[in-house]
Amino acid sequence: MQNNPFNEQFKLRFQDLESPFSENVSFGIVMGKRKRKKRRVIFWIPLTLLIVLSFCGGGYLHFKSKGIAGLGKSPANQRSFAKNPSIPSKGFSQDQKIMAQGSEQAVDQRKRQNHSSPKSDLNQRNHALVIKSNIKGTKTTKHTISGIHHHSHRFQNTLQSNGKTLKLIPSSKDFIYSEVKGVADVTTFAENTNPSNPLVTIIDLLQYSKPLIDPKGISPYGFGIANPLEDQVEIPEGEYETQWDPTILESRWYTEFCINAGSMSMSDLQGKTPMAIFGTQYHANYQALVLKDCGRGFMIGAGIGYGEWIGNGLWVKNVNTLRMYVDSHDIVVLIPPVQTIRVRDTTFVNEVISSEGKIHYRVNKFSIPLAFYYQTMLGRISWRAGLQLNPGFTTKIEGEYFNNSEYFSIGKNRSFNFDAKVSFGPRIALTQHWTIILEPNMMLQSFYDRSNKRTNGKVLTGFGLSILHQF
Amino acid sequence: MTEKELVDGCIREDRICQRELWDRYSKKLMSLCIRYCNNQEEAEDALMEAYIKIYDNLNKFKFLSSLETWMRRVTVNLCINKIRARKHIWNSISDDEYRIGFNDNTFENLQVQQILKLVESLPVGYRTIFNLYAIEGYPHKEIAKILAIDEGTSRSQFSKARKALQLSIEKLEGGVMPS
Repeated sequence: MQNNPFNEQFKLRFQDLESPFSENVSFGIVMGKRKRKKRRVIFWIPLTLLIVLSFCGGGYLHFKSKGIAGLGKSPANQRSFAKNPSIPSKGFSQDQKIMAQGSEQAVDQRKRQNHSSPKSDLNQRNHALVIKSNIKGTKTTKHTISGIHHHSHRFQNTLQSNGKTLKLIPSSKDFIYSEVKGVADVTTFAENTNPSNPLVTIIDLLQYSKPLIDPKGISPYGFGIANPLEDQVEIPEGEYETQWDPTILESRWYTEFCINAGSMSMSDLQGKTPMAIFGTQYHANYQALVLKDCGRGFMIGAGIGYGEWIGNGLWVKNVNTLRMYVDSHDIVVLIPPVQTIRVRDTTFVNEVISSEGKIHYRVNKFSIPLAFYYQTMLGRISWRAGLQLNPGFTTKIEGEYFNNSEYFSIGKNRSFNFDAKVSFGPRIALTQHWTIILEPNMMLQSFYDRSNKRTNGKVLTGFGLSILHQF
Repeated sequence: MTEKELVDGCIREDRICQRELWDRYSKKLMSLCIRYCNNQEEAEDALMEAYIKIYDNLNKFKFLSSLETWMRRVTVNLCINKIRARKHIWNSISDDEYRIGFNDNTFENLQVQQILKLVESLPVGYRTIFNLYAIEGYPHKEIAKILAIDEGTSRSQFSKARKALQLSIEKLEGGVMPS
């Protein structure tokens, strides 16, 4: 420092120099900022934990609810029913009057048969009740048997879905087909059944487990080619059918996880402005949404999102200056008397003073995406058009924001931001519940700069990948 | 209130002491920030950040130097970090500038405010090194370490800064060209 004459010269002059500051700076503001900074640390950790717990909780509830739903319905049957309404949902109706009549007949028949075991009695009663309750008395035996046949077959499916044993089914099948030709009366047919026959047990379950009953009717069960006419039984619409509206079985709620990235470059090769800025901006957004299918291909939803928007650039400023150089030469004339002539040679040089520097900015933000989607088929591919509005707030702003002709420092104060995304892309179904959507998109990124009291924004093009899950 | 009492009070989060620390040094540190930053706003931001840092780290102050020196050091470091984050390129003016001589007494006739204005008009790279070397008194070796550049770069940048200032002063005084 002793060898630094400049410091000796300047130190004393600058040491006590004071500069005023604006009203935006005060002791109170500094203390407030300091307090917020401390609070931020305390705030963000619980917030992060809260978000993680929400996701975990949501996932747990989702799987839990899925598990409960699985007990009450047969996904295979219900799904096929919902998706193929052309399958006649006949073969199942209930006529209380006939049921009662059938019950009486069954009881009488049982008495005639004189079964001794109480357990068998119970089974047989239930068996008779069920058979009678599910047929229409005016129908022929053949049709009635067909109705029974439907039940047993449906129940087979139900059992499959509930993971119960399927050993029961072949015997019931044998039972039905062995009896179809010779049986004249359904009641007799039912009563002749061995109480220990698994079909009785099945029908018991069928009777007391309404949620397990699928009303759609499955194609005829048997060997060889089925006769469709045999199954076109005109049975009046029963109350079960009205209860079993397939649409209520279809969930209309979805979750979506979306990753989206985009970029934009700028350059001023023409040099139209004194300052040229070359830069690249890119962004990445992560979103989690809950969506509701509103029907007719429309879907709306909301969620949370986090995004980072970064810009890196280089500014170049060229200033032309005309500089004068004076060279002087002394010429001695040796001819007496000796004279010295001083010649001054002046030259002007045009010099370019070039300054350049790197600039960088970064904006991190949290947002609440509000999504509006429309899905449609174009050709054989399903497509989705989307519009998203993402209002939110910035969590971090720093650096120098730039556009084509200028750059300036942006304040660090937290402020509002608003993003919007327009996308269009194909939907690719992975499984029944999982779908991937590829989304080329354009995204407006903007935020309000409180220091300069202006809104800065850019449109970046990008590509998104969304994973859609149906509850 | 002595420095010791002031520091102890601030560590205790005594609002009166913290206020006193602000009143005593804020304007001096503001003048320092202005020299390093691009504009008033940035300087004000830097000042506030520096004070937050000072309040948070006063317990690390060991009284090995004066409190003001320590505070200036903290503020300078903060400003330097800002400049480093901006990734400035440390070369701008062509080497032809070396041809022009420089008189060390050039600044003697100028007022401090005039010098300050001239320094402010320098590009960031020159200004930073001029501030660190000429005003703060950091040796080139330390400047190179702080800014993560070569010592030679620091020297050449300072030399160029001097010449740029010389040019500005000449313009200020009526365009007298050196012969």
